Amino acid sequence: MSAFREGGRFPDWSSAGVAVALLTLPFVLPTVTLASELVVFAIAALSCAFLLGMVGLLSFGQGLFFGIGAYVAGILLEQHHWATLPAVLLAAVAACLTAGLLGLLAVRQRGVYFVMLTLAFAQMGYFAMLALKQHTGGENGITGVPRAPLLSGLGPLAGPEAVYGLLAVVAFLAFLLVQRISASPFGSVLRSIRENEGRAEALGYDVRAYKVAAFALAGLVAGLAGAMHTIFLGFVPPNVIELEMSERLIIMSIIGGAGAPAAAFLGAGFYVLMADWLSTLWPRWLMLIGFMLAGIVLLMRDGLWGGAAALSRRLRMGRQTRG
Amino acid sequence: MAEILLAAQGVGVRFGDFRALSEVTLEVASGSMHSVIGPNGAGKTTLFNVLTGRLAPSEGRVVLGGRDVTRLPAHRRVHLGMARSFQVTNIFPELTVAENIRLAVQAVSGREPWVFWREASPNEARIRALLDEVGLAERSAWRAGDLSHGGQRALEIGMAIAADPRIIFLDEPLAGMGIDDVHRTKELIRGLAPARTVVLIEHNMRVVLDISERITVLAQGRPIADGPPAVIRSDAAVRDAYLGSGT
Amino acid sequence: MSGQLLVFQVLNGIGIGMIYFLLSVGLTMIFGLMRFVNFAHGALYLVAAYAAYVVSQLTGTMLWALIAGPLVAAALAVVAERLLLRHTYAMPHEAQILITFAVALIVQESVILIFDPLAKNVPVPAFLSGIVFIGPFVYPAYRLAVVAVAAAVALLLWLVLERTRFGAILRAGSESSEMVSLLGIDVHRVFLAAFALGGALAGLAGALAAPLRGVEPFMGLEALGIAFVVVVVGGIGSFSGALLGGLLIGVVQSVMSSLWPEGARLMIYGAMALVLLTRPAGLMGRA
Repeated sequence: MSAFREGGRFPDWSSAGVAVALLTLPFVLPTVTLASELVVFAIAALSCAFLLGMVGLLSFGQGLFFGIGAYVAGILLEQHHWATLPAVLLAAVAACLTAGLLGLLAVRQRGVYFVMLTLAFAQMGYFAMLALKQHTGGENGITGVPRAPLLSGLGPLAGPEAVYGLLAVVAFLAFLLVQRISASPFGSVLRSIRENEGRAEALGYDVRAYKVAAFALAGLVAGLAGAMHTIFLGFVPPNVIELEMSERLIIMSIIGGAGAPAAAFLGAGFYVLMADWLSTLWPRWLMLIGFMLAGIVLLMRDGLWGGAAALSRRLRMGRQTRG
Repeated sequence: MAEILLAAQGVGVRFGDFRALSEVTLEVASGSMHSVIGPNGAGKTTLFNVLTGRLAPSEGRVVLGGRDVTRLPAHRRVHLGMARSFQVTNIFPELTVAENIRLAVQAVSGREPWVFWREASPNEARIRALLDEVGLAERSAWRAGDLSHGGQRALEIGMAIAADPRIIFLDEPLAGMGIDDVHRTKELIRGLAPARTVVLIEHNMRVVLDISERITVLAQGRPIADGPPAVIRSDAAVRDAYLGSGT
Repeated sequence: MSGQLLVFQVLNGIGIGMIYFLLSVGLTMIFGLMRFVNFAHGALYLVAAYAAYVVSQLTGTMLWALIAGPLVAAALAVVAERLLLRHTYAMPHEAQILITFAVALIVQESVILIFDPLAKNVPVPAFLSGIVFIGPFVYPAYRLAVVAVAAAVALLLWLVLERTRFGAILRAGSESSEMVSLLGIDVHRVFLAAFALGGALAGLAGALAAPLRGVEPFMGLEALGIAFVVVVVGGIGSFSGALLGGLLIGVVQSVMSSLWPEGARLMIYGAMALVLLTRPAGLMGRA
């Protein structure tokens, strides 16, 4: 059940599960907007969970790549009137390349120093955004991002449902990519690095190169999510590149459980729905999230996903002994 | 005279003010069983770390097959045919025994580790053969961390052999093993040469004197003797350095 | 930049730098001593700042907060350590980061719950609300007082570290906590004392800073960021590093904020990244 840790198979029942969830979300949830928000953050949380669950890297920088994707998409759509798919592609590539370059620097350190480097980069990104305010809009962000056609020549995106459709397709593809990697030789190497980096190096794996590749890939996925965020929202608020965004993504991956790709979706879903539902009832709902986070790290390492898996295992075992 | 596969020339290692190794020169003949012995703290593992690339020396050179590899990082040396096992068991405890071996094989399989679009090639026959060689065939599905100490040491050796290296470094492979395991492992190690070159650190003197062709003795970071077992056995300096230890 | 402005900014920088020193010295000692990464350190600064607010509301001046702030912060540190954090010492750093981050989040939300999300003003104590003449320049009295208080505390701390048994244990423990326990000293009590001390110092920083910038719930997060920069640049586990780093960061930030405000923050985090990449031990740390 812990696909990041054990490899899993591709595709497996969780692929079907995610597909079903993506198809039914807009009908199950009160608004298409909420469903879209959930899917956007599911992709973003996936980038975080991938790094943590598969490679063992805690990155406070995924918000930076999310933000880069968001801003690049926003600038291309609003200021240069690009079509949607090319803008999304370039935004994701920009995030990926930045992640690759920063990754080359960050992986020179390990453990706590690596985490602090990602934090420093994230902060630098935010202040760089403010410094470049003639392009990014500074504290105001970029407003009035139009809904462009998928490709130039086609008609514009028909409305929130069409946007959701695009989001769901992108999310599913991202999910499949991560799942595929998890059950591949490359994935097995990443896993071995998380398990025992020194041993992996001694076996002949260029550990740094693999870490950079993983970091770049995670940057790609986060950038993709950021671009989707801009399209769905229609503007780019400055908080997409704030440190708080990185922290939010980490919270989502931990709560879902960094053990499997589908878990990231669960974590993002939980957070977004809690935010939507609780914030009107009790504005300080983040405190509950804080307790959950501490509880999960202490007690339930695999988060909600792991908890559900353990529960289903117990039920299955119970049925066997009784039967 | 067999050709020299690996040579250390004037190798020295300094950690701040502390000299772990000084002017270490030795030559390992191709296909030979070469042991490195010495009292605790003599610098044997440090020497291994320099020879395998885990540590860069402060002075000196390491030459493998005529090529200067002094600054080459450990993971690159594996692809030149070097493999090692560790003194403190260094495996992947959460993964299965078979997966540990498979990773070792995969590491030297060209572009395979970078493939991300399909499943890993199972490579069953090769993995099975390796597991048989180190006696872990029945426990292949076990979690590696659940193996007995002897089993984990066997896995260490298995992972070193898996890369099909031309030179293997074994760091105290027999440490903490029971009598039966020691015998079986000794024969396994003996059988590795002459097809491969073996460099061995061991404290078990009986085994060392039995299987080695050549022995280098280190004390306080310096080589104090180098020669076949018969010579080493009667060397006064060696006996002084080893007073009380070994059998 | 005019001479007056430059002197003003440098003095401001020294003042804020001393506050950064008090904030960071606890964090650096705890990381050096216990290899424990405390993302909740900013929360200690936060609660002390709010204590200063409460004190100023109740008594008309924040002076008593110079005692109340450190006490509240130390109390929070001790409670957190005893209840929760002591269970995480054996966990990997990532887990420590996440748990202390969760604590910071909980404290921040609690503060908003008790007060409200808006920034609040904390008046400077009446007798310090004037200005002082330094040669031809004028300078706010309170800011000068901050430097004086912080310097006095720094001296006191230095004396404790260099001249007392406890200080010697702390310094030894920063190099090797195994050694300390082998000497028969109860390592856990040392940790707890270090935690409380570090918390108290962060609390003092919060109380001193309150009249300068007001208090608002996100100041803890901001302080944490700066504390990490100071710790990294100055060197983990180093008292003099925290002092040097704090002053450096404070002065640079202050001077840059008149020249290029966004660049100031960018440079500071850039310096942190540079140090982490080239010399992770920092300016004064052991390489």
